[in-house]
Amino acid sequence: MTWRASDDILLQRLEDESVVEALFAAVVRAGGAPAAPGLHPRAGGLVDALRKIPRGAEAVAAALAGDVMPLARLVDELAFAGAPPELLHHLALFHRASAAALEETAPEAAASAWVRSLAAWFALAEERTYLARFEELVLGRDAARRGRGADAGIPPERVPLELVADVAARADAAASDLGQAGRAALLALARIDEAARIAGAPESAAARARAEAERRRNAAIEAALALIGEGLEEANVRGELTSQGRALLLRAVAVWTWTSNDEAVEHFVVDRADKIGWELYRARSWDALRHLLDPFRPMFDSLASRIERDPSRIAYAAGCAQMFVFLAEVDRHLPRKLELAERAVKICPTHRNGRIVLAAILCEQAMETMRAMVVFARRDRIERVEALLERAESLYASASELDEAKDMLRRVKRGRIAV
Amino acid sequence: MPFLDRAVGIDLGTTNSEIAWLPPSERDIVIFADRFGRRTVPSAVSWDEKAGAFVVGHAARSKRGTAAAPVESIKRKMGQKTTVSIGPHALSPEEVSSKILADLCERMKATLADKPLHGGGAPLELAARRAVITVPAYFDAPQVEATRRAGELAGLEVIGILQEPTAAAIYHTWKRRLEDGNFLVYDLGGGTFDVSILRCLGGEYQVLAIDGENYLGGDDLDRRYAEHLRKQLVEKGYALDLDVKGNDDDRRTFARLVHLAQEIKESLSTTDVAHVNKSDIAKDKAGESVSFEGEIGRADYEEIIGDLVETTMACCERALARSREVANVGVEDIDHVILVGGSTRVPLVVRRVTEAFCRDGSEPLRDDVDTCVALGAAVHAAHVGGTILGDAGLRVRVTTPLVAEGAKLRLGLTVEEAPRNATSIAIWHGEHALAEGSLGHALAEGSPGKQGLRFDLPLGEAEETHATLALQTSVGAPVGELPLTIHRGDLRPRPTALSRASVVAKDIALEVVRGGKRDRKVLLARGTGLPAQVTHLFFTADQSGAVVLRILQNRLPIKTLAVDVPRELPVGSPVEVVLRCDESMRLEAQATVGAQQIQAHIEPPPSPTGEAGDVEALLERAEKAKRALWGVLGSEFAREADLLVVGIREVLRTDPDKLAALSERLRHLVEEFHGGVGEGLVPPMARMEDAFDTLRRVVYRASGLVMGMERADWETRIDALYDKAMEAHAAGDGPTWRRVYNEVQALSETAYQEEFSLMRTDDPAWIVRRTLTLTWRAERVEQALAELVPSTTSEIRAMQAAERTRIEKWLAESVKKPLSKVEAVKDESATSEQRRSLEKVDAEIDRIEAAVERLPAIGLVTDRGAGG
Amino acid sequence: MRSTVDNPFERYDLDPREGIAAITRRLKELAEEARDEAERARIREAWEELTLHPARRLRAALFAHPETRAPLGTAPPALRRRASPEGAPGGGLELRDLAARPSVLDAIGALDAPDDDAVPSLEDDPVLRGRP
Repeated sequence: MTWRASDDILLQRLEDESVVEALFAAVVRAGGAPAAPGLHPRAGGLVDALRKIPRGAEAVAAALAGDVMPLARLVDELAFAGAPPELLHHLALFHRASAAALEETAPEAAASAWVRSLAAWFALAEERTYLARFEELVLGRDAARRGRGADAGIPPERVPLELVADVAARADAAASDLGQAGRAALLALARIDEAARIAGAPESAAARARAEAERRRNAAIEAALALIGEGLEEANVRGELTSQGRALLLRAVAVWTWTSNDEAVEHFVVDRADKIGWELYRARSWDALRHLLDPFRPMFDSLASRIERDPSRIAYAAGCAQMFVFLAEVDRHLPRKLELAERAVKICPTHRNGRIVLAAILCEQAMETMRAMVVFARRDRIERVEALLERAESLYASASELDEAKDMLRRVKRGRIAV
Repeated sequence: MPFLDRAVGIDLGTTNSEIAWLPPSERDIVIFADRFGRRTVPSAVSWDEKAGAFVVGHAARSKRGTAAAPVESIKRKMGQKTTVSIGPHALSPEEVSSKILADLCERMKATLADKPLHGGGAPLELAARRAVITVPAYFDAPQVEATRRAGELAGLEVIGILQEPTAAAIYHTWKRRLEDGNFLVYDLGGGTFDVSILRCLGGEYQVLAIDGENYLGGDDLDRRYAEHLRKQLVEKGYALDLDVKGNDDDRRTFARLVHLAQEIKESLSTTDVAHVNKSDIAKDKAGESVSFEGEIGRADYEEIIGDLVETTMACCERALARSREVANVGVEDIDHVILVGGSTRVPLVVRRVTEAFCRDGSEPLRDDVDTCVALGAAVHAAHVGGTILGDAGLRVRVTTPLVAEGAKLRLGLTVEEAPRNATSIAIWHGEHALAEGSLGHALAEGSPGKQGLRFDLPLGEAEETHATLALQTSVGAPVGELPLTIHRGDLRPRPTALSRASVVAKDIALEVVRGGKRDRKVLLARGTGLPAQVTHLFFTADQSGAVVLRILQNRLPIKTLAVDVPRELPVGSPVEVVLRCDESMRLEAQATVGAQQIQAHIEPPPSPTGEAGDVEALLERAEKAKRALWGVLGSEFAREADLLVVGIREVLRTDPDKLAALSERLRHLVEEFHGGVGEGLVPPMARMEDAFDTLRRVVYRASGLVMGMERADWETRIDALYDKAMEAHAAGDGPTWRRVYNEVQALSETAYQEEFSLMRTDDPAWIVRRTLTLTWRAERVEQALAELVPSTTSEIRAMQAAERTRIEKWLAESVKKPLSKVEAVKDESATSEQRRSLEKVDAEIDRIEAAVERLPAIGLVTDRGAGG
Repeated sequence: MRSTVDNPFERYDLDPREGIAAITRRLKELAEEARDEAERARIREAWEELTLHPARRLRAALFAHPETRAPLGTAPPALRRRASPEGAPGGGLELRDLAARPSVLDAIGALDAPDDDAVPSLEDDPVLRGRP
């Protein structure tokens, strides 16, 4: 049998298949996943398309010789502008397959793969001629019917949204077990802008995708929190909120991690801890209150920082401030108490309880200072006490401790000892 | 004698029934016809006193108006728990139907006995022991199940239930050799109306949409016109003030008028004017003989029945809207309109259907309107049932057609029964073995029928190849032989493995709880192809010690499963529910909670008699209202409505008086709360607007800076939020909409802190007002508990009773007692203590109300947390 | 390991461009030969997914690797640079590594055509035609 020109095509197909699998295996391994699933032979088209771009033929040749790294680099550094649509389409699917292979074991790497896939979809969405032809071929008779106003196809601008939906479905599916795949998906959904930037996508396209991603992301987080909400409702009607509430709410810590510290989880916890907190407060169960709030301190800190950094986030200021008020009330160490109450008033300057508690603590501190004045009161110390009480009065003029502290100050000023 | 058994197709109709059979050659379908050539058999059963036997068909129908009047239109009662009397017998609807089915089969048996069909010259008995029975697509599980039981009572093996529109489409594609196209099947039978949108693709079927009216058919046209005749006769002076419901004689008189109306309808189907000259139609109340003489124009007739036809057109529009949604097939994509059912002969029907759905001057297909369903069912029966060849101790099922298009035939078969020593199978044509194969292990292990065998048979040019199928021992000795005839011809398009025989007629849903409120999660949506299996993950929502799975058909419960679980099982534990529905809508549910698994076949309860449709519609409105309402308003509505809804469902089949009372109350409640709100998003727009108003008011009232921001800044910020809300509303984006709502509420709360610092809460007047409100709330809880309709499921009833006792005790201890103490105190100085006490009572009653609200939802699972 | 990006076009080796008639034909064959009811149900589901709503088919097609390779049986657009024998060390490919690949079997099936070098011209390749 003689070697014919057409046999070259066959051989090249086989080579392309093996190269794309080797490339895929390398990417998946580098991401930390144990084994790569198989790709369809048509995925070899990616290699065929890569051969045709600058430096592509060399990189493929190197891969055939056993070194896929140049090809992997080429794929990573590829500029999407001006890339042929076939290449973009293959790349979008290649990265999607990588993301899916990595999502369980290496969520961060998977998220990056999702972002690259999404970038390729963004770029592909601009290839109107390719997409129109593609749609015509796939839809056949149905495409002809589109002329009559039926909505058979997918408009090009919705193409990236299809991937957003695909990623979001993974987040949804993991909402109950907080699986890694869902974490990867949520991370990716928060990185739409990055994908749009890589692709050089127009702002209108980025905005559409961002809105869709945000909506889907919110829905997945809402679903993850819903179960906690149901549990708390049940505990509430059984009158077990104070005994069971904490254990139920603890799951929110896992959700917070799963969502890579999403603000919505912080809002949820502040809202729910408030109700349980007040029950414990009314029952004067200080230890239980402290025990309830302890695991969530990082969340309160995070939310407080968000509010401090960005004044437009004041909506949750009151709720967050209440958490710090609770923490201040149950703390036994005066400087820490003060710090916590100060934080409450800082994030929500008008917070009633915050002002009352801070005023009380300031009075307490003033009285402590005065008690330390053994025989003579130093002038600077007196001034400091005056400043403390002045601030306490400005915060909450009718604080019950204020009269006592002022009384003590008068006595100190008259040269008597504090006590 | 060896036999050949191919299943028959039976159209068990309201007015008439038909039976047909597709022979192995598949050239023409055999349909039963009596000696007058009548291909339809009236669905009428009466009792012959002399012979002491049931009479079916024309013979029974001819007894109309006599003392031995036949039972007719029994199809309308299928699935109901009722009996009708025929002679000395009281029969259930399925028993009556079984008489018709048995009669049809006897007739078909006689027809087949006359058929000169022989296998290679050897005598061969043609059997029809198996059947596919058709049902309207709108039949639901109880009705389908009753139809199946009727078949079994008639001694048939019911191998499938097929929906009538699909059967009609199968026949037309078979007859006209249509491979591809979209069909609208308009089936106006005697008692039901069905419309289906189907697609045929390479001979395979997809049901894209179904719709219809369970209680609208040709009989209704007749009754409508009979009533018109009655009024005319009364105007002429006859005493025809009839009490059809309560008086047997009146009913008989009216039946005569219906019969006359039917004749007029039939006459007007072919002429423009019907001349009626009837004397002695019946005797009126005064004993006078009634006669009618006159001319009736088609236009007059059409005016009387026009609205009934329009009702069917509305069903068609709904079906087309649905098919556009699922398959992008709209009215402009319909390639063929098929008319089915005798009532489609009414010219008005043809005209309206042609105007609305036929393209470019084409006309509806109207071949065999009376019999096409049975004919299509026969084609389908031959496909799903295959051909069973058998003899004593021998049974082979051929699963592929026995018709070859070329010189080769791919034959699939399964050996279901064979002598123990048979190890191989061979197909002989004279001295030539066309194919040979091993039986494998299937038979040796005593489980025949599992393993399918495939053979490629080379064939000659002959029209028919008379072969022999032989089962052989290991040395090739034959131990059983069956004649096998293979035909040359063209294989017409017909559905195979990809098509689904039927679709779910109504939504199958599970009752779930969302945020403490009952809700519905659709597991199998109407129109889902059967067989279907779905798996859904749910989560426990309480610690009641049981998981309650209440399966609903549309909005009415059809089965409640209760799984006992440990009380320690935490809320949020996964509950996996697998629901299977086979071709005849037989449902099976399986639930897995931890290590426990329960499985249940769902015996559909009898179809509710009376105005079930009204109750369903009311429950649907209540559900819509609940979705649209939100917040305090929503809770208030749900608190009352939920108890009523649950009560209605419990008494639906048992207590009509209570049903009416509860329905009336629910109707009022829905109207009171839900004045035409039809929004999809929760909270509804009005709630969102309220939240913004509150926020704006708080900011406006504040002097100077609020939270360090100028008022102008606040306003800009509120406007931006408002825009975001409206954007989410326009996009139907629920999660963002709720987030904005939460943010607005939180903002109000934050902004409110400033005012709050100035508030006085121990005003004695305030305390009096609070006490009154709380007392009223406590009374309302007591009332709700008293009105609770307990569940009919005993496990759940026990759980409810225990919970109710707990709530009553709780209410007494934590609400009523402290309230009476507060009321007793007249000392003004104690206000701050009273205030604290009231705050506590307020918190408790909040919880008690929530607990009462959850009472009907006890044990239900939630689908929240599963994403999507 | 089953891929989590399972696609019906790829699972049943269907080319999205072939249209629903071809999809139906192929899946019908597969369904009739299916080993058990579960397999048949999966095939039926795939058929519905790919034929019911055109938008669903298009979505599935977008998520399947498109056929962009040069059609078999034609000469390559430009003569390809052959890898030199000494440039293929141990890590490279040998024919026996490829022998069992399904695509080879596919390809051999495709080469059954009577005249190997005379089958479809590039003009018939829809993707190439669609390029500017």
